[in-house]
This record gives sequence, C-alpha cells and structure tokens, in this order.
Amino acid sequence: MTGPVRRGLKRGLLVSAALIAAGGIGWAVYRPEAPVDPAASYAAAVGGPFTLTDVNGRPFGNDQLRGKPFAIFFGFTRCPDVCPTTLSRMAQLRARLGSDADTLNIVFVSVDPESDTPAQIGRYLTLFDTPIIGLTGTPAQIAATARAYAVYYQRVPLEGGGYTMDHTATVFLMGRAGEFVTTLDAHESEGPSLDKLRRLVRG
Amino acid sequence: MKHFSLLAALAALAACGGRPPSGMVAVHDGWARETTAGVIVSAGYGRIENGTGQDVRMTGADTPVAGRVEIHNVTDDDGVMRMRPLPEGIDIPAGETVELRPGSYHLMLLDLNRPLRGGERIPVTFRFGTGAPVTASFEVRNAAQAAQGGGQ
Ligand SMILES: [Cu+2]
Repeated sequence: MTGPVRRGLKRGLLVSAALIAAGGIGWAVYRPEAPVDPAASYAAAVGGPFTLTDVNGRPFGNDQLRGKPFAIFFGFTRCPDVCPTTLSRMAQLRARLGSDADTLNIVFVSVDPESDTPAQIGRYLTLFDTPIIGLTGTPAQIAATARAYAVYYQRVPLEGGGYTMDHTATVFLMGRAGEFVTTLDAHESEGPSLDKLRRLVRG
Repeated sequence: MKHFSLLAALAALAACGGRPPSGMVAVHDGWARETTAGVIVSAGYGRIENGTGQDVRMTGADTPVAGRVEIHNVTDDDGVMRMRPLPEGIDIPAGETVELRPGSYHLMLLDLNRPLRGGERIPVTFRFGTGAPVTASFEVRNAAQAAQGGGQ
C-alpha cells in the first residue's frame, strides 16, 4: 500500500471514531474489525449546518456558501507555520484555476475564539492577497462547526505562559450544495491538488 | 565579537552559491513570514550548516524585531498538527545541515514589536550554547513568495 492511501484509510478510521465519539471532546482511537471505505465515511461525516460570525461581525451561516464549491480549513491567527502555509497554498491553487478562480470560495474557520475576534481574522487574512471568508464565533458555535467537519482541536498551554492550538489541518473540498467531495493532502504536490480543485469547480 | 560573527555570517552567505563553507556554522537562505498590524507572531526558516568538525547544538535565537524567539517543531499526527517548543534546541552533527522549513522545525518569532513587511531584511542571531553566535540576514517573504520558495 502506498503512503497516501494508508494515510487516507487511517483518517477514515479516525473519522468513524469521531462519529462514534460524537459529542465528546476527546479523540478516541477506534479501530473497527471490518475495513472502512474512507471516502464513504467522510461523505457521511463531513459538513452540515453551522452559524458563525464573519470578519465584519455579522452572522454567517452555511446557507451563504450555497451555489459555489468551497475549500474549508480550520486554524488560528497566532499560528505562523501550518496555517499560513495552507492558506498561501490555497491562494496559489486558486490563482492556477485561471478563469475558474471565482467559482471557488475559500473558508477559514478559527478554532481560537479567545484571540480571534472578527477584526483580528480580517487583518490576518489580508496577508494572503486573495478573498478568503474568515469565520469565528462563540466557543459553542466553533465546537459545533468543528464537530460537523470531524475536526479536532485542543488548546495547549505552553511553559512560557502562552498557548498553542493543536488542530486538524485538513482542507475539505465541498460541493455547491455543501456536500463533502474530497480533501487536499498537505503532502501532495501541486498537480494532484489542482486536479481535485478543477474537478470540484467544473463538477 | 559581534562584528566577527556578522562577518562570518556574511562570508557564509557569500559562500551559499555552492562551495561548502568549512570550519564554521553557517545559516543559508534565511527567511521569515510577512505579517500585518495586529499579527504579533511570525516564523523563521533556513538551513543551518555545521561546517565544523564537531557536533553543535542550536540553543536559541534572537532578533531585534521580536520580544522573544523560540525553537519549535511541528508534527503531523494523521492530519492533526501539533506545534511544540524545543527548549533543549536542535542538535546539528558535525558536517551536517539541519533545515528549518514550513511544517517542521522553525523559529517562532513572538511578540513582534512591529509588522514585518515583504521584501525587507531582518537580522537573526543564532546561539550555539557556549559557541560563537552566528547572525544571518533573513528576507521577509509575502505569502505568494513563501508558497513558491518555502512551501513543501
Ligand atoms: Cu511555532
């Protein structure tokens, strides 16, 4: 088995685990005996309604994303490594879509309501030079949204007094009706990612 | 001493074109991420080449633009990213090069005292325990440049 397939399969198992542990904050590792089709478990597990707040402080619900496919990613603005790497990669991929670029929304959901006010997310997203829908919310709203996308996050205090957030950094590609299509793998090269996005926006 | 390490760093940078520098620790291709007002963290990357005949340990770093700098690592645990400080630093065996790059080892620039603008250069001084520090000039890159040159 090749690396990515194994990874996908393992993720599929984790998603099933998340479903089973739905409502819990922990990340139980559950390994069913029967093999699980990872795509099928994602399709069942990922997506759904949410209510959050946009960078202007206005309510933003999943219905406002209907009609266009979108790429959704969870992170936080005090994340100087993984989050900017992913967001700038998304910006670059969107630019490569050429005339189809406007057909794709990019959505960034904060998992750190403590620091990430709407204004803070707005400032952070200007760094990526492409329109990104930035969303935050109350801790309960964010928890519900993360649960809908089977996203794990956890605040981790650091010795120096600060903190960091562990979080799922998967980019979920969602269709026009908000249905799960596929994920982008952070380790894959631009070609396969671009192919997935092309299929998404033309599909 | 400070002058000496700066000169050493400049010599090392000049040698980046391909000739392996020897007899010293050199930092190559250092860069940091652009920020904007209100964003007080950035990350720094580059390659640290140990051209000495002895193992060294990078124990810390400083830059005038940040209140403090930490050495961090990121691990990918089935899609869950975890960023952690490495208070002990990073060992660089004799003759080897350690790369600080996105999604892996990086310098965490905390409490920035001003935004970092794409295209500017900032000095970053690496400390190696009791060994001589090395100062490198880091290029600040915007998101597009970071995605081109510094991504996976
Ligand atoms: Cu860090």
